[in-house]
Amino acid sequence: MMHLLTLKLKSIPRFRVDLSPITPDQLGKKNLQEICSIRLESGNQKICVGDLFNVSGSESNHIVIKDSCDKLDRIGQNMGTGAITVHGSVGSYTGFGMRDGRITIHGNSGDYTASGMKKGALEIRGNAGHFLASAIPGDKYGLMGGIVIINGDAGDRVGDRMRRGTVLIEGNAGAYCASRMLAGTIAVMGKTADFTGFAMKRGTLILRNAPDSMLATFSDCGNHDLLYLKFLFKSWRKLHSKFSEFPAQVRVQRLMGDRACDGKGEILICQDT
Amino acid sequence: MIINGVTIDDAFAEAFGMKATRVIITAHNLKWAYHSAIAMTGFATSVIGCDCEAGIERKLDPEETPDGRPGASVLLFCVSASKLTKQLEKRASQCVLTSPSSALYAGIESDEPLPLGKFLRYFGDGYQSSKMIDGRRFWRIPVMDGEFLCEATTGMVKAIGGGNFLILAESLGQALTACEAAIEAMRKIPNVIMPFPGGVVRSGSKVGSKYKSLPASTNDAFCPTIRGLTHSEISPGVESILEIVIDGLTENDVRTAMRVGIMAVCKLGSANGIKRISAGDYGGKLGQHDFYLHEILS
Repeated sequence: MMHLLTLKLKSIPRFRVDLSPITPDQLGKKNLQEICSIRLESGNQKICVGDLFNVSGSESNHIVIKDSCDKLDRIGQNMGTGAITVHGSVGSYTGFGMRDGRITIHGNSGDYTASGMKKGALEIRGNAGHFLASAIPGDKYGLMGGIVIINGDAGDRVGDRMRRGTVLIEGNAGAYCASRMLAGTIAVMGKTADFTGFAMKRGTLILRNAPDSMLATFSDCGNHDLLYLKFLFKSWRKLHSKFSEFPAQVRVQRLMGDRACDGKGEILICQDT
Repeated sequence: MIINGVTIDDAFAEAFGMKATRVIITAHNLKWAYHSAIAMTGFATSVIGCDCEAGIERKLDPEETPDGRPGASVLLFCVSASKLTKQLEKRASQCVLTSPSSALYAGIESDEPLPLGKFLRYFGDGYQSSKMIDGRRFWRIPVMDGEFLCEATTGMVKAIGGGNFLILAESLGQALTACEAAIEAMRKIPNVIMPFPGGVVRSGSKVGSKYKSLPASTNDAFCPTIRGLTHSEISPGVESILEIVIDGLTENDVRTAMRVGIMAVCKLGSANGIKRISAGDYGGKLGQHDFYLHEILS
């Protein structure tokens, strides 16, 4: 019987660790000894996997990381297949440039989660840090595909320069949600903070609750029953998320902007739900 | 072969390879879905003069449509992919986009996509937006009653056009009654349309004409009023002949529809004035698909 490849953190590392070499596609058919000898960047040093983790199991298509902490960065970076499940919190850049597969974090994630992600599914069972699904400085786009589900809250600047894909936040989102957004869909079940939709160009931000304040550069386009939402909400029904319970059809108030930058993004505020 | 007193000729229907697509039109209610579907399939009886053969395949209940509203599935057939692309674009833009509360979706999957909302979106004048949901791209075009939702592409498949059979009856009334019975039965068959008015054509044609500019002309061999002048194939006692033309997605679909239609006619039998069933061919030289009546009915 094959056991999932399991990496159990021995102790919290002194410096941040770049875990990007630990993905199902890169481990391939490596044996335990080879996996333990992989050298990871940590501060200005290198540290072997075997020194950092107790490694067991052999099924590298599904990697389990136990007792994780927020110093483990770049989990699932550029991953193209398989699954990674993490028990505990993780650092920044989780799922960065992810090409496919599934990452599940049973804890919180740091900043720039799902940045540059192209396909697959990323689920954070806790909270996400700032710049969720956003572009890192110098990059053109944030999220470029796939689906990101946050069971808890997200920090500021969710979906900054997001290009495609879906972000579902069951809790609250911080300030500048959907700032400079280019396309795709963000939905927030809780509240959003100030400057929602700042410099938004295109894309959709669905809010279950109206924000306390809206930018003056968004124009109210009235209340509507939008047919495409039926398809969108139906596509959420299969998800392991509160969003699966979204009603089949919701009347929405449509605000468009950000007109300060000639944007045609839409903020849809759910009515009578 | 004789069924219920009706003689089945040892003849075959000669059909042609075509390109086809299916689209699904939905609307606020069935009435408006049909307004749109009827418009979209208008002036589409024959590729000879319309460039397209189209028809409503069937009504769709809300649980059968992508958006849970009542609708209709429409099949369109053309002789080439380029003609089908053009016809689909024109008919979608003039007949569906314009129709209140309508939405338009792909009705068939294939590796060969045909643009649907891909071109129509430009009507949005920059206010259109797209949404990719579960791997399907939809275009949202702002219109005066809200939004016209249209899938970006639909599929194109190889198909067959020109399956047919002729009903030879003692009178026009009896021929019409037989055709109505046949069409009613054939409309229950999926993947086929009968593109002529009411599913029936009275002006069956032959290839060519004495007039050089015409590609087709009247099928004089089956015209009762000139039976004395031509090499007539009309048997004594026959006064009226009508034809049913069938376009289908596969050979089997056409064959099934022909069998069901002919059997419905034969059920009326000679007692109701039906004398013969025949089929139209072009000497077997033009079409790629031959449907032999005896083979279909055996």
